[in-house]
Amino acid sequence: MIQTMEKDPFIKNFVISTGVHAVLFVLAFGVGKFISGSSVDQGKIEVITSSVRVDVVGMPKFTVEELKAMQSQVQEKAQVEAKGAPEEVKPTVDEAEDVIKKDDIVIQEKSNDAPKKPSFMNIVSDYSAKKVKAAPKKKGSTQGSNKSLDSLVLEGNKLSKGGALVGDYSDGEVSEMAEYVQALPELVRVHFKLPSYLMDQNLRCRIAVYIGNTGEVLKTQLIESSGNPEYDARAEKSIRAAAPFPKPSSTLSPRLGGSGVILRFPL
Amino acid sequence: MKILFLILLSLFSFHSFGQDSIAEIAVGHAELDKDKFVIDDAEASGLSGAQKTLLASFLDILKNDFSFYKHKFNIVDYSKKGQNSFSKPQLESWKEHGISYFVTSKVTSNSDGINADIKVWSILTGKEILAKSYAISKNSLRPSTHKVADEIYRSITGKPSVFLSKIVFISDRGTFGKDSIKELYMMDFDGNRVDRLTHFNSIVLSPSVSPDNSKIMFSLIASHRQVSNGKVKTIKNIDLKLFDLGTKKFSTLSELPGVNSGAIYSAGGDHAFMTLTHKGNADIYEMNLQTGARRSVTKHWSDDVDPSITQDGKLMTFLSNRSGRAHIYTMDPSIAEKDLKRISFVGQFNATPRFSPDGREIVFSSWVDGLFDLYRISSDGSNLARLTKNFGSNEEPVYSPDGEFIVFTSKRVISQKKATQDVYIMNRDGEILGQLTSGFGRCYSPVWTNLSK
Repeated sequence: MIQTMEKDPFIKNFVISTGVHAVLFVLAFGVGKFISGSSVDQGKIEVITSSVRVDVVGMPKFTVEELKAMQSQVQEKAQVEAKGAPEEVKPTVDEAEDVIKKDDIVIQEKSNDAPKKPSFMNIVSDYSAKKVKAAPKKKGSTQGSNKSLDSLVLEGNKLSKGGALVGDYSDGEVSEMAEYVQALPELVRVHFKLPSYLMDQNLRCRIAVYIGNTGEVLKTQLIESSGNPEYDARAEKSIRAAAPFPKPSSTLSPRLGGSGVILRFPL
Repeated sequence: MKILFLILLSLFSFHSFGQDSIAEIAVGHAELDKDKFVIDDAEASGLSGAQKTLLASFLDILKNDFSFYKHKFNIVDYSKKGQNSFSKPQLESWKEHGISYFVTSKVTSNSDGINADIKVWSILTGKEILAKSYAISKNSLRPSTHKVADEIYRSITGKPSVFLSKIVFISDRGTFGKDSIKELYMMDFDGNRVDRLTHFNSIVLSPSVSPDNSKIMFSLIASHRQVSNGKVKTIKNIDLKLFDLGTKKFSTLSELPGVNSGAIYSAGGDHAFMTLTHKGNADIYEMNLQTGARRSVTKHWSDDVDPSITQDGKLMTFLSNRSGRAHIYTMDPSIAEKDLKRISFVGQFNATPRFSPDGREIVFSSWVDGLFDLYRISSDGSNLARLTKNFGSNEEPVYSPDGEFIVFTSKRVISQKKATQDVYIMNRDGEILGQLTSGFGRCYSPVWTNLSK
């Protein structure tokens, strides 16, 4: 090889040039990582937003206070079902043959791999059946303020499913990854709490969370700090408090553990 | 060649490492983690019986003030009797209880009442954030205590509270039916210490407080003597009046024929926006309060009433029936009809839109199922939300100057001939905090004074 290179200056120069470029590339990559302090490739971030159907057909039926109560019910149920979902038991081939016979007409339904969460419309319907108590006349309630109600108010007061679709994904386009990621804010937000002096400061941060095979948090990484250590710490704490997340499928697991998911606090 | 191969392989490896995109999603706004707050028993020595009663009232009022902010603070009742909490507060033990702030006091006797040394500790930082002495007398008990509460609130949040704010309102107290008269009153934010401001024996309407809290504009159904064909007759007109709280003097700002009403102050206090009907239909005008010069802000054949303006003066909301029904609109008030936008599209009859102090939200009442209820909507027309239900007929909502509360009137029909209408307070999410007036006639049009700097 050395003899060949000595004989052919083109090969020698090609190897040197390639080597120099490779070193420069590695240096640039390393320095870039060092400067940004992050291993996350910003150019490959895919921002996901939830799809929401919006129709306002009349004055809202439910008050903000009623929606708060409903929201906490939804969150509690979602938490319980996400954490307490039983292990999926796959039928054996023999069992499957017993269920579906050769001449049966089979109507394929949507996959139920992911733990089924109570739909907001069902919760609203259940709640509608109950008699709503009159608002208290005197002090005594302990409900707190909740800015996240704005989005819920939009959802909670619609009675029809809606005709206009707002968001990045239509029903048919929701990828498995997007579906999994869209479920995370609901689980984390319930644990994201700030003291009054941090509420009005318009702080924001971004944290990458790496999720393991069983939904556990492998690690978190602060991608963009708010500048306030307590805000960042409370955001990170809310992620850990929400864990374990739903168990990802075997196809999602490598991506969630390898590249992670970035959570933006608050928007 | 091996070296070349390895180098090329390593380059391709870098490419494939970052091939999958990274998903990013917003979590949403945080919930408020209420600060646990202890107002400890005072260290008192050498107090007479009357002074002990004064001290007990002082602490009760202090705790009651903070209970209005219960969406921010959780007043915890931990008794630490027997410990020297004023000189050597046990910060670590409070930390174990999850307490964020600790108020302690040392009270001594003075000739007019008591002297209270107040200290506020931030348990999280271990720092004393307020240390001040206050003289409390029987006569100054409520205003002095509200001042103490306000300074404690400021030391914790860095912002002024509503504790020193007052509420101006109208009541027909003591009058009934056709003979009823409505006069102007003013009370503390918590409904105490009510003062009567006017004695016109007439109907007072729609008050507005100047930004420096020195004046109140209001409308009055006034009688004017008019000579027509040699005959003198008396006509009624809705005039715009001004009351100077310092000098206690009244003056007339506008008495154009018809309605001169619904006036509000501009942010600087040198102009007013009001509804005038002297040209036939109701339109909104801006008037220079020094010169009386006015210009049209709305110009439409339909009626435009009830203006409310943001603190920066760049956005005005008002009510108009230009769509056929009473709906809420916004516009830039600097030029007539500029950037007009309708923001409400539902509701049989919407009324009294009022901006939040930050200008982001508008609270209003809307006629639904035979009653008025309160709603709020973002200034761009999104996020319509209901605030009241099953709570009588609720009208005339207005945000507190810090944006944390809304006062409004609520009517209860007792019988065909009798109904009560009182002023209530709730937080911005519609949690009713209490009734501010009771047995004080039918109350109307509450408005807040502004925050003291």
